Amino acid sequence: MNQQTRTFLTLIKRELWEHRGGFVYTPLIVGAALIVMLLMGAGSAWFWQLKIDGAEAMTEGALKLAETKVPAEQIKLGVQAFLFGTGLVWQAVMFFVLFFYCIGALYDDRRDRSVLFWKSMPVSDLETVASKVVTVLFVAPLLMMTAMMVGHLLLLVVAGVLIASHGGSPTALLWNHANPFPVWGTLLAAQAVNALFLLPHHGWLLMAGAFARGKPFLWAVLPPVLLAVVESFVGFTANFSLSKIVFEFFARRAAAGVAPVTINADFGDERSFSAGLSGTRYAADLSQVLDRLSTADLWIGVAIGLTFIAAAVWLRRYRDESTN
Amino acid sequence: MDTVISARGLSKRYKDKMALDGCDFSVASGRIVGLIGPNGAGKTTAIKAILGLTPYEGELDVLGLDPFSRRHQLMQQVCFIADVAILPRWLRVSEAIDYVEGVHPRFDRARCERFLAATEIKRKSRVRELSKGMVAQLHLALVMAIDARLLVLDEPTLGLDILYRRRFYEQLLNDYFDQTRTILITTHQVEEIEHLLTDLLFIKSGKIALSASMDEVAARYCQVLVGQDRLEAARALKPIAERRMLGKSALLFDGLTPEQAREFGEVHQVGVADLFVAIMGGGVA
Repeated sequence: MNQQTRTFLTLIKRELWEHRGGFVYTPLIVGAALIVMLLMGAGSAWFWQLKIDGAEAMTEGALKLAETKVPAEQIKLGVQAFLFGTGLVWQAVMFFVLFFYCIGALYDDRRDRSVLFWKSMPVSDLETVASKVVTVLFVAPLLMMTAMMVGHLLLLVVAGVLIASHGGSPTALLWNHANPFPVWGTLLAAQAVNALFLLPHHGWLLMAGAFARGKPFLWAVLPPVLLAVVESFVGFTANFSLSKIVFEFFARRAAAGVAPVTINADFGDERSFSAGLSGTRYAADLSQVLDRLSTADLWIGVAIGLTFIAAAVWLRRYRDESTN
Repeated sequence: MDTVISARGLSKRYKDKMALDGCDFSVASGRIVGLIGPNGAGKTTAIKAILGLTPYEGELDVLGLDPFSRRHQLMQQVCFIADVAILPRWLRVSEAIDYVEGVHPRFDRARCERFLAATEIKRKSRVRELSKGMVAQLHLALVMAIDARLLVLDEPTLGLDILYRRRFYEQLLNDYFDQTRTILITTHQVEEIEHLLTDLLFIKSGKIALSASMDEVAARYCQVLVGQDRLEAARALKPIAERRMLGKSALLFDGLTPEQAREFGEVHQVGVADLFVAIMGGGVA
């Protein structure tokens, strides 16, 4: 292993040491919370909220009925919706973890002056910022995905036990239809596309952190707000509003960050039941995720994101840390 | 003898004030140089420029590199300890060692472990759990295990008690310093490091006020204890500082020959602190 690779791996490790709480413990806590919710019944009602011939789902009669009457496709869709639904909780939590990580990544060490220690090592500012970007793009999402996969398996076991304890057959109603790989594949793809889609978001936050001498959160959030305020004084022109464009640009991304896939399945009432399903269908569509790759919006965002990151590198290097 | 640092016309302007104003100096290999000046004189700015932490005007060459554009390469050869606060508080001792080992090609882990073995520092502790003195020991152990050519110390013992300060410098001198290394050091406690310095750099209002080796200082400056009867005659030779002690006056001369000096009374070597006050204070304090 050459020195550059070694340095970079060490920098990544450094991020994990500092942010073990956000990147490792938080996803584990999310998993634990979901299992507790499932056990408390809230989760089970949510994912298996069928009324079969007017009977509540979680009764022995209803479950027996479901085994014979509900088509396999329908159960499969239901299980997938459950996996996607819980998967989105991890994804949404990760979005907020990364939001605060990015703000602090190039700010915290300047506040406590430990930046002088990091800068006393033979590591360039580009390498430093790159390690943070790689952490955001790959390391944290993969750790979260790993926790999610383990969590999913545990959730399936617990849900199966719940069904069995209510007199149903967990194999027929759950496990036979619970192949998680398509779900994980879709969420992984969504995560990868999101990494690109959210690049301007994360780039902006990193830059704000590198710029701020104090209150990095305000520096991150205020400029877009101020832009809107200034514009409201200057007056809106009927068909052009910069703040609206900026707001939509970021809001779309924040929405995708919180929920990277849309769940299409609807099990709210008996009607969706009889809607009839044909062929293989997933509760969340992979193509819908990948379609975003061919939009100009995504690639414009990537270019803007890279510009912010370049600015963050520049600021990291030129920002004078002197206090006197 | 190699030159480790050379500055010519080194300047740095902050908005309305020149922190460094055309400094010329050089530091040779194998020296221990004290960079000394009052607060706000430009010490820290000079050190930041040398470490590549701040852009500057003028010429500056450290180990053949331009520090600002080549900081990360320079740091393979240069180590730096600022005051004790700069190790990140969340970092564990074992992580600190792993980190430096991972990024620094010239770090010797066994050497670092050996230094740490002589301390009370536990591997699992976080920096925030260590006392100030232990943090300084940890940082010193990390730095002494790096085979670097230049070590820069900026108030390294600030806030430490006398025991730790003593040990810090003893260790530095006994276990680290040799003729191939160079140490540049700033501190307020001049008396404590006086005996280990080989060179002095005084800085005043962004300008170099004195750049000399200790030998040169000893040859050039002397302090004479003059009795009241000879005071007027001695004053005629224009001492650069004068202060009263025990009924006599201590006069500090620049460029007086030993023979001349002995005529007036007891001759002493000038302490760095006295010299500092004389040169910085601009006369009688």
